[in-house]
Order: sequence, then C-alpha cells, then structure tokens
Amino acid sequence: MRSSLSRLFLVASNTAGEAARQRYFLVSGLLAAAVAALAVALRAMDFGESELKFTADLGFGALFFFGSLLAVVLPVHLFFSEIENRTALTLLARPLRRWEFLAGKLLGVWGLLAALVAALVGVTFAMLAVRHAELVEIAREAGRPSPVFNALGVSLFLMLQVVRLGVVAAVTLFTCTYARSALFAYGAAFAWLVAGQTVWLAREWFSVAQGAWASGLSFLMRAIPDLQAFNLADALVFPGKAGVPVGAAFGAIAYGLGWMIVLIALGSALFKNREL
Amino acid sequence: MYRYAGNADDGSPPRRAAAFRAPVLVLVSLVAAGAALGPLADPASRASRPTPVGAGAPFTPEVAGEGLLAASLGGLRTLVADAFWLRAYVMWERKDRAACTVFARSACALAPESAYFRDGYATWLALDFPHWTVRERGGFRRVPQPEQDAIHRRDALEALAFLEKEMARDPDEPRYPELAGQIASMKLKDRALSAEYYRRCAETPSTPWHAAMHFVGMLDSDGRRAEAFAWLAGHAKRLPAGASDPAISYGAYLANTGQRESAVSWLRDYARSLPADSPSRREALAHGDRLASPER
Amino acid sequence: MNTPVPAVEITGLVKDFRIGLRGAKVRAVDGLTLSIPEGGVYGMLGPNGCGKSTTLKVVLGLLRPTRGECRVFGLPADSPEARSQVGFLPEGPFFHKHLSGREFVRYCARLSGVSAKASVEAADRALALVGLAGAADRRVGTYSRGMLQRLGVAQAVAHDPRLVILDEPTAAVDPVGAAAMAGIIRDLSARGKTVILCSHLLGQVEEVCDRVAVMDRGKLVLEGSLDAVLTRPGRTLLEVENLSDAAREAARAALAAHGAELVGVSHPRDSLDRIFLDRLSGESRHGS
Repeated sequence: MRSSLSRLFLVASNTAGEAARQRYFLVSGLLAAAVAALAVALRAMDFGESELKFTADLGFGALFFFGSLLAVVLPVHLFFSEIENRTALTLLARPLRRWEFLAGKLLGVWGLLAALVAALVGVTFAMLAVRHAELVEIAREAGRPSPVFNALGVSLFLMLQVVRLGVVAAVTLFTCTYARSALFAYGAAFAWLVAGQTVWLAREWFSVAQGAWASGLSFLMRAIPDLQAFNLADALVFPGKAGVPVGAAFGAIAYGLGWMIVLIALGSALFKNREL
Repeated sequence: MYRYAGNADDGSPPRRAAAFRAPVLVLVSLVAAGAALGPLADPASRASRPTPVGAGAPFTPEVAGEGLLAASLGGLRTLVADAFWLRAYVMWERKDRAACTVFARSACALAPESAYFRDGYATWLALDFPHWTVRERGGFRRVPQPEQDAIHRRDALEALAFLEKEMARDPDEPRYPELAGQIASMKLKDRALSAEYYRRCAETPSTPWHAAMHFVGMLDSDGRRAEAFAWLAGHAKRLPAGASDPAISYGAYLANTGQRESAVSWLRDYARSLPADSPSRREALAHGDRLASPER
Repeated sequence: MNTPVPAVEITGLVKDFRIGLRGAKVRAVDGLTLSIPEGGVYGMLGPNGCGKSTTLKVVLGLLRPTRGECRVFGLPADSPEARSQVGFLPEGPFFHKHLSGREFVRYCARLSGVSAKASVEAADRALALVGLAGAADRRVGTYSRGMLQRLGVAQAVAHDPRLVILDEPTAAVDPVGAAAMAGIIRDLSARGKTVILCSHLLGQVEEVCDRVAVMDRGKLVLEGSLDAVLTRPGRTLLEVENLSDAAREAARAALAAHGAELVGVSHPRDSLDRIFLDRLSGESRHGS
C-alpha cells in the first residue's frame, strides 16, 4: 500500500509539474486574477446589491469560468498526450497499476486547480476584507447598518470550489478512459459539465411531473453529479438570517469527494481493459 | 494483422453481449453511486438554486427556461446578469425599447433574486417606454391624446402583470407592490387598485415607512376614511416601538401640500377613532390643534 | 537438477482485437508458443503487422491475452512483481519534455520501486551507460532523436532489471546512433541481462543477437540460435589471400579428390556501416 501511494504521488507530482508549465494554464490563471481584481475599478457600479457582493460575484465568477475550463482541458490534454506520445506505455510497463496512473493524474491536476482556487479566492477575500473594513467605517459615520460578509463562509466556499473542480476533473478523466480521441473527450466532458450544472432542474421537473416514468427518470438522473450543490457562494459569503449553511456545505463536500472516488474507480475499471 | 472469422471455441464472449455489458455495468454503477451519495448534496443543492423552481412555484416553460439559463452559467450567472444590466442601461440611453427589454429581461432571468433588476425594468416599462413609443409615432403634439392614453395604459398594465408575477414569487419583497401602487395611481388613476398595492407593501416584513402612509392616503382620497382607520388600528400592533405613526405622517403630508383643512379634519377624525389612553390619539389631537390655530 | 526458469515463456498465445462499431475481430497473434532463455540477446523479427509488438505488449502486461499464457521469470506477465524485473524502450519514444534527462530517469526508476536516495545514483549510472552523462541536466525537449533513444534505454535499465525489451531501438536513427545502440546492447548482454530486440534492421539483429524468432501473420515461422538459423549445413567458407587462377584450379582438383566441390569463388565485402563509421572522426563516432 505504501509503495502504491508512493507511485501515485510520483505520478501526481509529475502531472502537476507538467500542467503548471502549460502556457494556457498560466494565461488562464492570470486572466482570472485580472478579472477578480477588476472589481476595484468597477466598484462604483451600483446594481442594487452591496458593493461587496459585486466584488464577490466578479472574483467567484472568474473562478467558476476559468476553473471549469481548466478542469476539463488539463486532464484531457495530459491524459491524451501520455497516450498519443506513448509515454503511458513507458510508465505502465512498470509496476504501476492503471488505477494508480489515473488517480495520480487526478491528484496532480486537482492539486494545481486547488492552488488556483486558493489564489483566486485569496485575491477576492483580500479585496472583500479591505473594502469591508472601509465600508463599515463609512456606514458607522453615516449611521447606516454595516455591510455583512462572512470569513468562515469564504473558507467554506473555497473548500467547496476545490471539491467542485475535483469532481469536474474526475468526470473528465473518467470520460478519457473510454474516449478514443481527445476531441471526443473534450466534447463529452463539456457535455457532462453542462449536464452537471442543469441536472437539478431536470430532476425537479421530473419530480413535479406525474407518473412512474418521471420518478424513474428522476432517479436515473442521479447518475450525473449535481454541480449546482457547490454554488453556495451567496449563502455562504453573505448569509441571511438563517446563517451560514455549514451542514449543507459539508454535505456537498462529502458528496463531491464520494463522486471523485467513484469516478476514478469506474474509470480505472474501464482503463484496465483498454488496449494501449 | 489479418482479419479472422473467429472460432466458436476461442473463449471470447458473444460479440453483442460483450459490447453492451460494460456500458450497462458503468451506468448501473453511476446510478447506484448517485443514489447513495445524492442525499448528502440535497440540502446544498436546494440552498443554492437560483430560481424558485422546486420552491412551490409552477414549473412553466418560462420558469424552466430561466432556470436552464441560470443553471448553465453556474457561478458566472450573477456576473453575466450584471453585464446584461449594463447593456440594458446603454440601450435605455439610446431609447431602444426592444434591445433594452431583451437585456433587462435577460438580467432578470439570470438573477431571479435581484429585486433591483425587476424594479428597474418595471419602472422603465411603465414610465419610460410609453413616452418613447409616443415619440416614435410623431411626438406628443402629433399623436392624439386617446392614442397616447392607450399606449400608457397598455404598458402600465404590462408592468403590473410583470410585478404581479414577481409578487407571487417573492411576497416579502416590498419594492414590487410599492412600484405597482405608484403605477396604478399615476398611470391608471385607479386609487382603489393603488391602495391595494400599498396595503400589500405596508404588510411586508421590511416595509418602508411611507407605504402605510400612502395606503391610508389613497383610501382617504377615495372616501374610505373609516376603512383606513380600521386598518391603522391593526397596523399599529405591527409597528416597532418608536416608529412614526403613518396616519400622523399623512396629516403632515396634507398640511405640507397646502391642504390644511383636510389635514385637520383627518387628524381629528383619526384621534377620535383611537382609544382615549392612546399616545397616538394625544399626538394626533395636538397636531390637529396646532394646524387649526390661527397663528399658524 | 533444477531446470532454469526462462526469462519469458509464452504458451498458446492468441490475441484478438475488435475493431469498428460492429466489433469485427482481427487476430494479431495466433497460437504463439515461445520460450526465451535467460541471458543473451534475443531478436524478434517480422514484417509490419506480424504480431511482434502485440506479443511484446503482452509480455509487458500492457495487453491481456485473448487466450494462452505469458510468464516472465515464472511470474504472470501482468503482475507488478514481473514488471519490476522488466525494462522497456517503446518504439519512437517521446518523453516528458519538461523534465531534465536525470529527472526523467529518476522518475522512471522510482516508479519501478527504487528508493528516492538510490534513484540518484541509479539514474547517473544509467545515463553514463548510454553516454548521456553530459546532457543529464538538459531538458528532454532539447534532445535529438538519437539522444531520446539513448535516454529511453537509460530509463529502461535504471532500476537494474533482469529483462530489457527494446522495440525498434534504432528506428529513424543515423548509422552512428545505431552503432552506439548496438554497443549498448552488447554491454547489457555482457552484464548478464536478457535483451529482447525487436527490429526491422536485419543487419543489426544479425550483429548483436544470439537467438532469433521470425513471426509472420501472427505465427512463429522460425526460431533458434543465430548460428543454427544462418548456417547452411554441408557448406564451408574458406578465406584465401592471393588466389591465382592456377591455384584456384589446383584447389578445385584437390577438393574433388576428397569428394568435395568448389561451388563459388568471390571477394569478401565489408559492410557499408563499417566503412561509414571507419571514415568518421572519433568525435562523430561517439554520437551527439
């Protein structure tokens, strides 16, 4: 088990190193940080919500977009470059099991995505904290109620986003194990992503519709990981009277981790039978 | 490599069965995993839904479409909604009704929780769009008054229908009935309808202080003073300690707009409707007497 | 007396691939039985699509047999224990460009179970063996084709395996690189490794192999030691200096008197490879 973990971490660190050197990763990371930082310039805009909410929307929106993009592109690119360049043969001819290879790839990509999430949430959090302190002072002088933002909620949101991107990367790697070409894998992984974002709506519709077929389809829809469960930014960062939904957030984290394990296990089973 | 017809004894499973077995097994495993894990995510999934779908709202195609758009964009939704709203502003500056409507409604669809977008759109619809239409048809000097009235009425009714839907979605939001009250009063000249909207606004948990004042004012100007006092008696119990009395505020409004006699009459009648030991009664009488005194 | 365990033992190997949506079956290896003894260089020959690469992938545990069995040093070929005793150079290798040569060889050695500490020395030793010590810190992305092949051999031997499998190690490599590779193969053999060489270049196989197997259409058509395969029974080659016409006729008569027949007289030829390498400067001979 120890040597198995050691091999897994070797693949993970090599994957992370390779991924970090991809130009598109660096460009996406910088663009996302730039979009998040744009909130400073745009904070005079009034959309009827608090200024802090706009800052959070911008930072978390950039994270959602660029994070999702990278969680699909990185695994497909790194997986198929190993297959097409035949480096996978060099590695898998060693005492490296296929699940170790796949889990190592996921861990490497996930580690890098986690660093990206931490950096972007860090930038957004710093802007929120600094501006919050200023707005509290302004509100105190004007006799208005102080704006609210929750630091615990931000850290929970960070964990949720790390897990969300882990699920997207795991779905993508699962897709790679049965895809015969990178192009198909990109298409299928993006389809999974959209399905994951919208599956709750379909399930809701089936639950409203009458009949056994609707209940059956609603149940079958459980096969698609529900990514909406991770979009708790507003409830976590700007909690209302109900407070920060800590239980719901930890439930979603457990859900995401469970899906990652299931997807890698199933992916490994498919990959094991794949003719290289 | 060469093509081979295959043997019956080659040990490989029958072709069709082998081709279908793996995908079926994978699908069954995914469903089983989803069924086992799903309950963990249900509270978070419900808490993060961007639309009222599933919260008792009817599942109309429009609601489903909004939900699909919002869900597809995920965490990017509010940002895209903000961008659409900015674009709607640009179109508003250009007085382009069609484009302004598209962007504003898209922003509303993407941010169903934002009363600001809805309030803004309904305001444009009822108060700005009819003027643009009249201008397009030649201006208010050329377009006959009945046609202008019809344009204003049509847009006002459309705005009220839009606001009614929002009130059904979010009955605790005071901005929708407040704006509806204004539109009913200004555009439809329907005091009874306006009063009804102001009442609904005044009965929301976070009502602005002036909603109740507008409501009782509408009833008073509609000749329904007794009804206003009866409602105020119930409303007083809901007011937080130290809050100003809407009836006295309405009296002050009448006085400030040059209707001193009406103000005095209102305040004295109001005082009479209250119990003898009510602080509001003493305050109303004092205000009424002050307004009635010849030094003033 | 214990029978020595063969390095590779293949029994009744059949490998079918299914292609297309309808799953049409293509047989790549058809009932192959083969035993490769430990030690020496074993050549696997055959035209494209004859099944030799598929056979190698089964030996490496990368493909599962449709039928039959493959064992490496007596262990199932797909077991991690068997694979830890095997080193493999794939055909036309591309390696992780972001790593240096040393980092890549260390990575491979560690995946084969070499400890982090021992992998430093193992990588340096392997790189020295293939003549890449001077380029060990350069990024793999800057290596020439020949250097990549040599790096491939280094990663294959870094964990000191008992069996080294080289798939077309000199494909697209110039004669200098091919000669260097032949030297490395001989060196590995001298260190007691079993080397399986899969190549199209019959001259190279002849130069370095002890035994060969020839495959065609998924079947084994010839197998044995190189001498046994190449020697024409009943014929002898004499090499003579200054053979005049008269001497040739006298020799023919003398041979006839002993019942032998002179069937041909020709001049021995050097190989073009050897002449090419002899004319190059020492530096070029060692490759870039």
